[in-house]
Amino acid sequence: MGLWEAFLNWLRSLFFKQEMELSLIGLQNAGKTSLVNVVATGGYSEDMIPTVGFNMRKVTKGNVTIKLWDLGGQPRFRSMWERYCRAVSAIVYVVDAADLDNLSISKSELHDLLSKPSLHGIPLLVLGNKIDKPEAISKQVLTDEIGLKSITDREVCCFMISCKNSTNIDSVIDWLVTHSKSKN
Amino acid sequence: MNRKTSVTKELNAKHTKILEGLLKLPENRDCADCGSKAPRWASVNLGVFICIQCSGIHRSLGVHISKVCSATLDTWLPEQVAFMQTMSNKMANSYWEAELPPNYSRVGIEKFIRAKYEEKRVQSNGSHKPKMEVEIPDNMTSGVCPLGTPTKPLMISPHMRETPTIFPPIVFPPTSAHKLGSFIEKVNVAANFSNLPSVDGQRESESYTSSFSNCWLKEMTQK
Repeated sequence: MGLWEAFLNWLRSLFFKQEMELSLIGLQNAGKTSLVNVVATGGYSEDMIPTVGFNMRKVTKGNVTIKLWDLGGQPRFRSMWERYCRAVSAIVYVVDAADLDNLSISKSELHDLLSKPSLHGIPLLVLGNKIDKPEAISKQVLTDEIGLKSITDREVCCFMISCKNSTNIDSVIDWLVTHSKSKN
Repeated sequence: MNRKTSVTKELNAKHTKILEGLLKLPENRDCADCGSKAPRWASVNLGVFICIQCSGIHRSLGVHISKVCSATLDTWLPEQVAFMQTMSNKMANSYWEAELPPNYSRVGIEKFIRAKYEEKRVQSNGSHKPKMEVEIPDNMTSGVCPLGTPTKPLMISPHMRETPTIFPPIVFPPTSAHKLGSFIEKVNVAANFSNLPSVDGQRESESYTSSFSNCWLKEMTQK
């Protein structure tokens, strides 16, 4: 009986469930781990300690299971981004939209990463986080500053979000879920 | 534009060494906020070394208040390292925690850190904030360095490699007197709250400048 159930579940999962793998990258303190927490549990914690190395988390949304690789943003960890971005369904790049000084670094790190041949054609989702802060820039400015228009070899999408206030998190999840469907 | 990429491997190794040295100093051995041992993170614009737990809270304050960097995992800019060299947890706290009761218990560390840096509830009430805390190190090359000297004597130059904590003699130019003024005031207020060894006996001194520059120079040369 139990075995039969398990078998049926497995069969069902084969046909109805979809899996996708994502990697979350971005400079330190952009809000990657916070985003994982908001997507997974809906909870936001103010004092998120820096990620040393990486976190992996599986999140189920509807019939899609998302495996999230949440990578550390410190310069020491940036060399391993590429390894974790190979063969993912999409690369999620988080930017602190209220940290104007680091936008140029954020831009060059992103373009460095995308220039890797192993990551050719993988869709990119850019998220401007922390729009709850008054000094946060607009989507238009962010698009220009990060140089998204110059990326032509893949699908690129950009949202402005706030993990703190859960602004636009639904659109992000929608984008991710529909993306896994179109991919399979 | 991206100045961090201009930091070479050698320079980065040198920075790491300097930071390691700073972390070994007795005044930096404990986290500036919670007091736990061996902090490995720093707020580069506040000039304090903090632990990873407190760094999480600092990050949530926003970069306009505190910019968090790891002493071991981050690439530092020369002026950021130089700024950390001019500061210490003890010095910073003599300003930020000037009004703190001595037996204050730090339960609810998040509230404490917010009160300390965001609401500035326990900071020195001796007038305006000293220049160095508002100065974002990124801009320091073009702007004022904490001691108000005209050039950039605190930048790491090759001849300072062996002795990174010894600075050239400080000459105060007349033009930076107003900037220096706020700094002196700060140190003077600080002297009332923390027992900086070199200002003993001069607390009631009328002549701010002389007592300050004496103690400052003494402190510098003692290092």
